Amino acid sequence: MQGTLNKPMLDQATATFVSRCTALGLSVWACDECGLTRQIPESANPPACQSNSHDDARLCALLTQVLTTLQQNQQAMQVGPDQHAVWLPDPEGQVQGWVLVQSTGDAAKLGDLNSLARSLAWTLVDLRQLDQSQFAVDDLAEQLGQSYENITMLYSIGLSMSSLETPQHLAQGICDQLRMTQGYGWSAARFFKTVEDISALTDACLIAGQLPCPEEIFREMTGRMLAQWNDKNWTRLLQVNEHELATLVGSEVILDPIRHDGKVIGVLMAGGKTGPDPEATSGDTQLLDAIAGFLGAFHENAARFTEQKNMFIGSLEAVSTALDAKDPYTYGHSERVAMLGMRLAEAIGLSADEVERIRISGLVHDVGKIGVPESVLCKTGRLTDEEFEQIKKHPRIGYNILKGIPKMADVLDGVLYHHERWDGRGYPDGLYGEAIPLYGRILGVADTFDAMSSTRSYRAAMMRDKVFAEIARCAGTQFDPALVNPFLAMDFSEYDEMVRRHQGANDSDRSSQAA
Amino acid sequence: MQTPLTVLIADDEPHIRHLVGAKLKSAGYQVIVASNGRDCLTLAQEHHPALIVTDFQMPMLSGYDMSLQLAGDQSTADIPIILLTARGHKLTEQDLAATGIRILMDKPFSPNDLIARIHGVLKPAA
Repeated sequence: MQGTLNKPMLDQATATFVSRCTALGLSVWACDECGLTRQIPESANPPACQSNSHDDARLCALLTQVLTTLQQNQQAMQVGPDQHAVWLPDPEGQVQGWVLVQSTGDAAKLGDLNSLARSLAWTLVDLRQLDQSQFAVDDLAEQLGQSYENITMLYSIGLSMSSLETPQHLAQGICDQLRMTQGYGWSAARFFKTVEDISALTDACLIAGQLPCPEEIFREMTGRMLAQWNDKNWTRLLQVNEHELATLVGSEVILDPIRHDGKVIGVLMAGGKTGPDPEATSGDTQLLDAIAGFLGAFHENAARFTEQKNMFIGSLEAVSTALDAKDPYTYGHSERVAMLGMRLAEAIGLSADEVERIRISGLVHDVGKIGVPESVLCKTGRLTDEEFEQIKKHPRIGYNILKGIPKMADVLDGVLYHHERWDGRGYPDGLYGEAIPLYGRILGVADTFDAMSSTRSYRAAMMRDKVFAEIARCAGTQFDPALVNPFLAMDFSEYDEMVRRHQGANDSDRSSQAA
Repeated sequence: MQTPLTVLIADDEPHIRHLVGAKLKSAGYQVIVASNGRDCLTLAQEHHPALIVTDFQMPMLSGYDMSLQLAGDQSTADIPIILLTARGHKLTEQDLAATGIRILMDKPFSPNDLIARIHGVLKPAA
């Protein structure tokens, strides 16, 4: 902490002192061995000053000898024929240093020397206090800088939590940031084998930076630690030679549990800290605590989000199943169209988000049939024009039902336009070619395929090769030609499996109703 | 073999208890912990530790108020206390003189510095 005093100010103070002494006909001796006077820089010494060499043992011995005398006698004291020592007191009156002066002129002027020495002494005290304040300011500035880093980091973690990051992405990002901003050699997030709700994190080991040991051993050891975990036996600080993990990585390891629903699902760890103080401070553990809390909260949210989404989709499935059940011939139709639409969307390279939207759209595409009388839907004979007009209303009815539901906006196209035709002869709007939204075109193929492949009230199911031929024939008239080949190239074993399942469930439903 | 000296740690933040506790155990002390001022007071009266490291701000009873109560009790008045404070808590010399608080330590702190201060307080007496 005793840093270098402010040099320009010190130079000025000593130069003033020396020049005043010179004016009095005194020359100043500065001895390097003797406490504070070493601070008098040689460059500041005017020619009148004789700077004593360090090895002037005789003088040093003499000065040491007079020190105690000086402390008692607060006057300048004569130490040789023309030499006087004068001391520089600190605020408590203790000796903080001294200077030797050699009188070359009027020795009577020595009386002024004491007051000059006092003023130099006070300047030195001021400088030292300034130095201490400077140190405190630097210290605070450093802490402020670190706090800023921490806040920035927590802020950016908060930001990534609100975006739709996957749990692994977020945990990995947190490890990376923690390592970079806090000077750790490595940082890791390790999850239990039994992370429910978030399967992507089960037994996951996400690492940032370079581990000082093989990753496999680290993975195995931390996995074993977690397996033996209980809330009483763990500690946030692992030390070398006390804990096998700290010994393995050769440095202190700090860790903090990641909790979800009150249960520990994993731990966040960091080690290999570098810098002036490589051992963990309370600031380090506090930050880790905060970040692990963030991770836990994110996982709570992610789990809730998944839960709600599953519930939402589940209720859509329930609605579509109820709808399909109105007509025994369409049992499972919506689920199959959803699956076929999803596979076709994948085949033409749509994003995972779009694939999911098409699935939902497929599930609800016929929801408007709720508004069509059962007598029309299940009619075995040919439909009259009037009845067909009623059937043609179902896309619009479905659209009107769903448009009020938040989050459904993205899937409405598929519902409204799944009966449009590439040649413009479809309904409800008679759109033509690419004016038909893509979701409508995709579901159009899937819907027609499933209708032809299953038995309907008005006809029996067609054979697969006949269905394929019909789809191929209608490329460019009923269907978007760009979709036909990818569709026909799909693997239909999943579809056939689904049909068998629906067939079985439908049969048992009807037999139990009959009984 | 000499029985290890007992240090009582009181802080509502678990990470502080863990950090200081682990370091003290490594340094050969026996450690007991409390998560608030009231529990700390009870434990201090029960175990009469060689030293207490306590946080300033804690639920139920602050570290300072607890120190005042310990000072008021003959059986605990002699226990030296190290108070962990956030920068900005200004306690005067007079405030401290009424308690067993020997050292104020700013948070965040390095546990190694803390251990050195604890040695400083306990070694001369030992």
